[in-house]
Amino acid sequence: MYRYDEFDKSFVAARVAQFRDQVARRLEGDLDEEQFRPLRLMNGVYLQLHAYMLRIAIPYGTLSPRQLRKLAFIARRYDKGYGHFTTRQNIQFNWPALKDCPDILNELAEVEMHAIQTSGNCIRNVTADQFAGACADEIEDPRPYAEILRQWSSLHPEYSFLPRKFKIAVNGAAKDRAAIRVHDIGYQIVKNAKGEVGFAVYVGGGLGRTPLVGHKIRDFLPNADLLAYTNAILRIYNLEGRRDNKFKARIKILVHEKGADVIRAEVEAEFTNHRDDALALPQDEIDRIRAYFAPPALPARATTSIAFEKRKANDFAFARFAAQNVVAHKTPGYGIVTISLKPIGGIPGDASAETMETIADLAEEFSAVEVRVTHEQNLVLPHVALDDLPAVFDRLAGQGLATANAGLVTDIISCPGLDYCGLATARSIPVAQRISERFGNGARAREIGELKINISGCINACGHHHVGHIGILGLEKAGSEAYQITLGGSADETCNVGAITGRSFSSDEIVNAIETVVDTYLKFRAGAAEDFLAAYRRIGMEPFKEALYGRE
Amino acid sequence: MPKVISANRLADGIVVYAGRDGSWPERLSQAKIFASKAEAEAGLLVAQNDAKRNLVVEPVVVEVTQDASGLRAVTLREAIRALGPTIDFLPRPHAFAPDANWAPAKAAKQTTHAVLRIPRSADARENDPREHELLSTTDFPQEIAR
Ligand code: HEM
Ligand code: SF4
Repeated sequence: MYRYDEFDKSFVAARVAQFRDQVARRLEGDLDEEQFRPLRLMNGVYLQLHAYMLRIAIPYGTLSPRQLRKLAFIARRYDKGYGHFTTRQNIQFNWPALKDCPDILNELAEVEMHAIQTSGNCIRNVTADQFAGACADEIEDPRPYAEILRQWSSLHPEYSFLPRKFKIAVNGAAKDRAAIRVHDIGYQIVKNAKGEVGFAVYVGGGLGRTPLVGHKIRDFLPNADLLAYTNAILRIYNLEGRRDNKFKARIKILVHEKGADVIRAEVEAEFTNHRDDALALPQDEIDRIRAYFAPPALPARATTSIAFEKRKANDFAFARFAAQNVVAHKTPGYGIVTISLKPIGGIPGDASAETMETIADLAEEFSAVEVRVTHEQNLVLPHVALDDLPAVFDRLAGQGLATANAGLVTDIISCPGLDYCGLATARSIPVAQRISERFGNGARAREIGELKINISGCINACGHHHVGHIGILGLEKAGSEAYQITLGGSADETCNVGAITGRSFSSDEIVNAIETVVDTYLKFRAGAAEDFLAAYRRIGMEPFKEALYGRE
Repeated sequence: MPKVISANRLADGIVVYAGRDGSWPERLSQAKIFASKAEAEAGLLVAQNDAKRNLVVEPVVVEVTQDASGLRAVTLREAIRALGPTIDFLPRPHAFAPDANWAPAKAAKQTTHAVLRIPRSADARENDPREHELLSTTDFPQEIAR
């Protein structure tokens, strides 16, 4: 993985020193809250309901065991023993003291991590497919490009005060696992007819109060032009994005209001006029960064592992885990293991310090010293030999980490909601827990099959509810929590914003309502092979409406 | 409706209430009660002074009810601020390896953060293999605090 060079090191160290001074001045009263707020936000420090919250970037979701152990250490030393992995490949700590934040950032700098640009109207953490560099269906590893974007955008003077936050995702496989069409810019790696690698470019996607799917504005961008083109998009946005209204300030509104064709023409003109700027990426520079992400030297293995097959045949729990949480690796004899942070009835995305350490140990022993963070709030061991899977499974099971539910009804994405978040209108975590308990992970969950339920505690949509197959949005109605359901959303290459079923449900009703939706799917599906999304796309909203509300 | 004033402490962000003696205690039960809107607004001016003195941030007036059991916040949001998250957010105690870094003072304080935890249905209990463990675990602070 990428290692900081001297420049990166001193850059992050200088930033920590600067923030330490700012915090000291705030505590001594030389800065008031109004002056200090933007400074703390630039360093990932929010003030939430119960305490400060620190958001730390995990660029393109790649972590070393050393980094994960450091996060565990911070959880214990400065927090209450846990952290929350988010849909943007960040981790959030919910209880740090402001006075400790400079020390925490110092600890993080030791392992080449920081919280720069995890908040504010700048280019945020660049995200990527969690299976990057490992999955069998990959065209090219997206992470070198994400790293190049990260370096270029860090403290970029022209783009530190954009009209609004700006999120970029890069996906390298045919399957979109990075939700690129709901990002401000989504880059999909493609190959052209000549076999050259480049990007299909999507612009103007986003969730929040106005969910919009990104538009493709270019079929093929040569990889050397990545920065020049990103720059062109940002220039247009920086000039034309609305600064008069916070709710209309994202690039998605600009694209929506002017039309994708107009934006395409403007971006192309800007790009062409400045093409010979210094932003063309030299191939040797791409290669230099790519070298950091060279695939690990995995010892050759037989395609079929006898140990793995044997255990599968004799142990149902293991077989289920293998079927649900392990996908094909590009190297024969290896698999990619998803570690679900969604135990039945648990808090989606939360991991205790001990969990982090267990996973760090496993990564060191069994996964070429690498861990990944998914935008679905799970962790991944990307390079596990099938021969080792029984041992890995046993170790995970020993810590309650072997829930075989990746992609199933209980693999729920949930934002912190009103249990932590100052902007929330309703709780989301307890709803996720109750749904999880209702369905469990037994025969019924298997019967239901692939189903994504996403929950947000307010219209900001941090829990991706618009793109859940079933989305739940927490609202406040006359002082009580109310939950609106959307159906048919999806975040992958068939990206779609879900449609609202109708009136909302109370907290007492919502789990039953979700069960009604799921039962309706089971009733109408063409067969077990037709998953929820496919069935919804075939039969539409009506049967669900009728089941939920009767004939009104 | 009676009112209190709440804020977050500057240095660590913890929820605090304007107390009877000018201090900022962490417990709602120790908050000074303002009987009317006018009194609360006067209290808020004093609190804003403490914000200027860098003791607290963002003081606001919070509506409460008072009965035999004490003060209770009216809105869910303020109830959660007063009592902590409504979920078992702490990792299970047994999940901690013995560790010198884990400050017992912190752990002890959390037990006072009782939760509005949603009772688990009999159904969920029956089907949940962890239930046995849950019921037999005595060192599960939130459960006891309720
Ligand atoms: C708890 C503190 C948080 C605050 C104050 C916060 C604030 C916001 C706001 C205001 C928006 C709407 C932005 C817009 O539409 O322009 C937003 C969007 C979003 N946030 Fe959060 N958020 C928080 C936590 C999280 C967490 C925990 C996650 C991941 C689980 C997350 C991921 C996202 C995502 C994916 C979006 C929507 C994508 C988009 O920008 O269009 N945020 N957040
Ligand atoms: S969706 Fe709303 S409630 Fe949930 S984390 Fe985002 S801002 Fe908070």
